Amino acid sequence: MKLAFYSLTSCEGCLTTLITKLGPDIEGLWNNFDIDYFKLVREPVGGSKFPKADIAFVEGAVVTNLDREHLQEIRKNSRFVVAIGTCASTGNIAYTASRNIKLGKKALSVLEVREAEPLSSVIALDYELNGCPVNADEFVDGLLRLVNGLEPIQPDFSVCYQCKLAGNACLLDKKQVCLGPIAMGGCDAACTSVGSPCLACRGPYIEADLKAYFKTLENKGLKVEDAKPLLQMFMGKKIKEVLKE
Amino acid sequence: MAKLSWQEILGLIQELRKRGFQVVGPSSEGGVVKLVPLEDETKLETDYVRTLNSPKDFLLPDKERLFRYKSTATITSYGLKIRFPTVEGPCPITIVPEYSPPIGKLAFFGIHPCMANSIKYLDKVMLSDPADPYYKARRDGLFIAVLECAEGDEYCLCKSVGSDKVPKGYADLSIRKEGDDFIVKASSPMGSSLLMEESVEEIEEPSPKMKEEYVIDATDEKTIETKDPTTLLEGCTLCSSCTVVCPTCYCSDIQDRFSLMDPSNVERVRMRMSCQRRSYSSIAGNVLFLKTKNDRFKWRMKHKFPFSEKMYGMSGCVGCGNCIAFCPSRIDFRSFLGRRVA
Ligand code: SF4
Ligand code: SF4
Ligand code: SF4
Ligand code: SF4
Ligand code: SF4
Repeated sequence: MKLAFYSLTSCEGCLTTLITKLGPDIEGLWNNFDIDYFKLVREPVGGSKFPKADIAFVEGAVVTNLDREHLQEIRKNSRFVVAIGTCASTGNIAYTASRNIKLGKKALSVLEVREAEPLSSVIALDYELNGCPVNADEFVDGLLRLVNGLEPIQPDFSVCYQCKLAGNACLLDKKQVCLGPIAMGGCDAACTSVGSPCLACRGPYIEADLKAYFKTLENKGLKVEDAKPLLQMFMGKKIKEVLKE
Repeated sequence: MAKLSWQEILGLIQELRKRGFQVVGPSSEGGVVKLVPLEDETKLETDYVRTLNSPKDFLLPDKERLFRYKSTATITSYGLKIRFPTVEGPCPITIVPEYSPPIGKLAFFGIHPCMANSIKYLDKVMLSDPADPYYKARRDGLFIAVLECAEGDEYCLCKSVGSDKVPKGYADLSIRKEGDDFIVKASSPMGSSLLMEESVEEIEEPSPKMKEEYVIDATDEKTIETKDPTTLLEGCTLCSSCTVVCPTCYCSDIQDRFSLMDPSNVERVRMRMSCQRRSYSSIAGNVLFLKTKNDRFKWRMKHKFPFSEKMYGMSGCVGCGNCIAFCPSRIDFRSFLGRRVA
């Protein structure tokens, strides 16, 4: 089975995480699959910049014209395209930032920068694995599910679920705005377990209910206005979907 | 009966540990009281109302390995064809389960009566025929020292559901705080051997005082079905906290985990599930039975009350109030199923 790992505009943190966090599994990845391209690790095999692959994993947001062209080529040459990380799944920080920065027409044409988009705005995407950076365990799970002919599953719970399993006192009670109730879980409540509010770095939870969340904040005597800027941070394009509901 | 000082109480815990028990009790940590393994340095908490976790977290862990099996899985390059790993040969029946080795027998020290009731409920569920061997391995030889509860907080409702007293056989010791001292009674042979007393005593505990009293009586299936919880659930984000902190929620999901290192080595694990989660009621073909939060809340209520009564002859709610106190939106089911009387 052939795999390829691509990178669009990003910090390359997701691919780095896979290399550093897979532990002994990295050997399994190398021995059991044909890896025909891995940005940072292996140049494309066989001459083409976009080798034919069973599964292409793509990190990063679509920001430049080149990103757009590359992504379309990747789509043509891969059976499955899987977005890895929040840049690829929501557009992440770049999504809002690129809409707030005022760049002149000239600067834009020189940099060939456009408003950042998640992969799903440009191509028909098969699956998404979220996280800033992506979670190595979820990656392994997703890959093995695909190999088994099953769809990778996204966590169907919010951060609160694992936050409670971890036995944390709720930060909302300490008058801190925490996005946990609408944030996609699966991170083992990494931030709230050390006392920092969740910023939803994995994007919105699949059943995120913004109205109920705002009501929760009101019930706790917190201001909805204080949550709004936080919602813009990582949720990128997906905040629109959440707002619609 | 014995009157023990704080030091002597700690002595009892040490003695239990000497006898090979893993002693679990309440301790204050990061602003909440939790049941934790009591080590030499852990400070036992005896002035508390609720614990965020409950005995179930020790009897039914969030994630446990049931067994491993070999599959013929290989990952080969088939061009664009995907090869499925398959399981060959006689499967699970011949597999010897791998119980997680008990670290010692378990002892709960200083839990309240509602939690003793929750163990009784879990026993009914997990030990009814056929008994769950994993649960049973942890449950066997369990020691329970109950700390009487003088007064609950505004979320407690043990009295309304009849679990304000320790059920028979669910306390080896019963402890009452009296000033700086503790009145300890042995109510089982194991308890009296620990107290070094001959006799076993009947415990007559007082019922804890309730801050708010409720009559919970609208608990039959039909009534729950016809009520509309929309307004009550306005702030419910379906976060599932209510079922995580509930001492009697036992739902689980079973998954097979393949490893990248050796795809033929498969691990079957049991993980916590919640009826508030989407996957609880979704089946093949993208069919979802419990679609809305109203559906899921009603399901939780039905399981706690009429279904549990029918299946186990006991309320599935032991009145600890955890699902209210730890809900980020403080969603309170009490007035949905009854009314406040004081
Ligand atoms: S601290 Fe945040 S994530 Fe944790 S329970 Fe509270 S709202 Fe949810
Ligand atoms: S707690 Fe929130 S911000 Fe932190 S890792 Fe998890 S999803 Fe990301
Ligand atoms: S804890 Fe509260 S907000 Fe979360 S699912 Fe339960 S009732 Fe809803
Ligand atoms: S339903 Fe609520 S009050 Fe009843 S046992 Fe569970 S957490 Fe406690
Ligand atoms: S069905 Fe829901 S309420 Fe009942 S035990 Fe399972 S998670 Fe808890």
